[in-house]
Amino acid sequence: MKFSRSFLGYSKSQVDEELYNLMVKLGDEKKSLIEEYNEAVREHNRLLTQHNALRSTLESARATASLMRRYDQDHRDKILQGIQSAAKAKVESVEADRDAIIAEIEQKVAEIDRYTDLLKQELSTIAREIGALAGSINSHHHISEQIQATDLEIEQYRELASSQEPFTAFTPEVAAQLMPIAMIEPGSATPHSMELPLSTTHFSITEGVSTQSSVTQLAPQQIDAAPSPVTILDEPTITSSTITRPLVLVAENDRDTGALLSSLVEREGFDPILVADGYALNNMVKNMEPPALIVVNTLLPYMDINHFIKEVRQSARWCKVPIMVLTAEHSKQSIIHALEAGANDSMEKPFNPREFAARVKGLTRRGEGVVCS
Amino acid sequence: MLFLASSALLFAVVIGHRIIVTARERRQESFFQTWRQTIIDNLFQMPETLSAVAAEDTISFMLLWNNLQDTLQGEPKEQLNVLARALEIDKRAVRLLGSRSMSLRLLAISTLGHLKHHASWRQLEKDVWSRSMTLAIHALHALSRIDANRAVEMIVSFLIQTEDWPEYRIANILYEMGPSSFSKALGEAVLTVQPEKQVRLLNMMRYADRAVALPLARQLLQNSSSEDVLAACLHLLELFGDSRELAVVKRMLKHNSPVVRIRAVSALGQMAGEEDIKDLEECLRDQTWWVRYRAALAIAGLPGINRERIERMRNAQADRFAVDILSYVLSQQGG
Repeated sequence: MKFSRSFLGYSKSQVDEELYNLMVKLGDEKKSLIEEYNEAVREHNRLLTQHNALRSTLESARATASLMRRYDQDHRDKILQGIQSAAKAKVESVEADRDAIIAEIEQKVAEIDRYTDLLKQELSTIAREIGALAGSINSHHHISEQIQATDLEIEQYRELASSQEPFTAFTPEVAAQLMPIAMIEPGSATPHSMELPLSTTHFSITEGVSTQSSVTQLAPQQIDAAPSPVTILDEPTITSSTITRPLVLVAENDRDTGALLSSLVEREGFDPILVADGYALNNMVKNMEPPALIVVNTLLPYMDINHFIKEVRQSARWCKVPIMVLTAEHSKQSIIHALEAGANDSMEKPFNPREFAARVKGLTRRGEGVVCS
Repeated sequence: MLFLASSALLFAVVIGHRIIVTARERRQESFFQTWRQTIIDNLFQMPETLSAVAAEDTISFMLLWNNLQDTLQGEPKEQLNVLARALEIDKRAVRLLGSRSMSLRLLAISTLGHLKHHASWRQLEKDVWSRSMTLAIHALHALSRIDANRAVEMIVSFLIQTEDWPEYRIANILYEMGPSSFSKALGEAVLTVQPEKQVRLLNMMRYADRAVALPLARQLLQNSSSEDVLAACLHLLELFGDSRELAVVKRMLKHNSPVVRIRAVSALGQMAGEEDIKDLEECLRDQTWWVRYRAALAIAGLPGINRERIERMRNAQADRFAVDILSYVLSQQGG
């Protein structure tokens, strides 16, 4: 069959050309599409590769993270365990130390209590001894007064005896007054003893008198030598001379200064009691009778001086005791505070011993502290 | 083996040293117990016979003797000197001046000072300029005891030429010498030195004569621009001044430096009367806490000012800092 040379106005060659062009065009398009397709496939593959890579990275990261978490946990657990066991060991050791320290402290406290009790007992024994000896002295004084009262009767008797006149018996009153003399042990000799010729025919004395005894007249200063009806201690720690002397409490931590103050106080007719720190001072205040004067160093160890002075002024027993403070500080403030707290006088170190002695005399002469709080 | 031997040797040395020290302490204690009362009794009456002090007891005697010298004043010190000379302690002290041990030298210097041993003056003068401040101060102290008037010049030049002298030690020396000995010389020295040194010398003027210290303080308050010098002068006014200094002190209340204002308000508190309350109330509003505090304390310390009055004053204050500081001072006084 032959195509007509014209098909819809086109010639065959034109149609062929058109078809050819179309075929070429389609081919080109197909080529480009294939290329695009290939490109897309390559892109897809690339992305897939990337995806796979990322996925594997993610998985390995997850694995690492889980490993790290496990390690971290293990590590933390180990550290915690270590810390806990160390802390536990430390706590146990501290508790053991604490128990040991508490036991030691309790032991020391028990020792201190024992010592304090012993000290208290000793102080109360001393106080009793002082009381007993004071009683003895009082009774001696009483005897002395009675003896002095009978001096006149003895003198009268002497005159009567020497006049060799018969005389009547002593009246009961005179005999009673003579009784204390007769109670004195026969034969106790003093420079003032005197023999009275007693004759039973001339007088009778009521009960208890030996007619052959020598009656000893005791001058007042001989009282101490005479035995007394009061119980005498075997080893008195305070001599009779100190009982008659008032006490001065000296609180000074420096030994040399303390010895100096004690000597100065003794020379003024007082008996010093020396303490070296606040503990001893407080013990003295609790256990002894109020002294005539307190001399205290403002820098005494373990002692707040102003607090101490206030406490003394508030105490019913001690409030009238004069207080002198000794200060080594060149500061008027410490003196002012001490005086405001209730001290009566102050002296600065270095001090003149004569001035100190004069102040001691002045304070004890006045005899009273400030008005009690 | 070597280790064991050296440990044994060290142990033996330590034990031996301990034994020696313990024996020395026991001997010293025994010496103190014996001689303490002897020396004290000597204050009242020289004993007819005196046993000698053994050479090894010299140090113990000097320690005891110096301690008592430092405790006493007046005639008994001379009694102690008589005793020391009778026992030839002065000669022993002179020998100890040459000792290599610092503590022995210091003990010897102190002893010679108390003994007023003029023959040692030259040696002590040399010690004043030694490198050791401790030795220098001890030597100065000894010189001041031997001859106070002659020592003043040396003390003043020492204070001017050295920087690191301890104030409390020098104050002790000056206090012992007494104000009449050194006031004039020290007052003149204050005017010749630089302001940095003036302050320390002015601090020593606290122990001087009022008649010298007060005019000096007034003069420096007019002329000096150093705040430390002004503060030191105001402190002198606080110690020695009276109401005649009020004008100067009130002027200083407005000074720029808080240090000066603090001292000024303290000084005002010492010399103010009720008519000066207004000035103190002004200071209650100062920007520096210490100025406000000192002003409140000064008000509380004025005669005729009681607790109720301070409370009324507090309630009338508009400035909250003034209210606060007055409340603080009231609470310090208990309430």
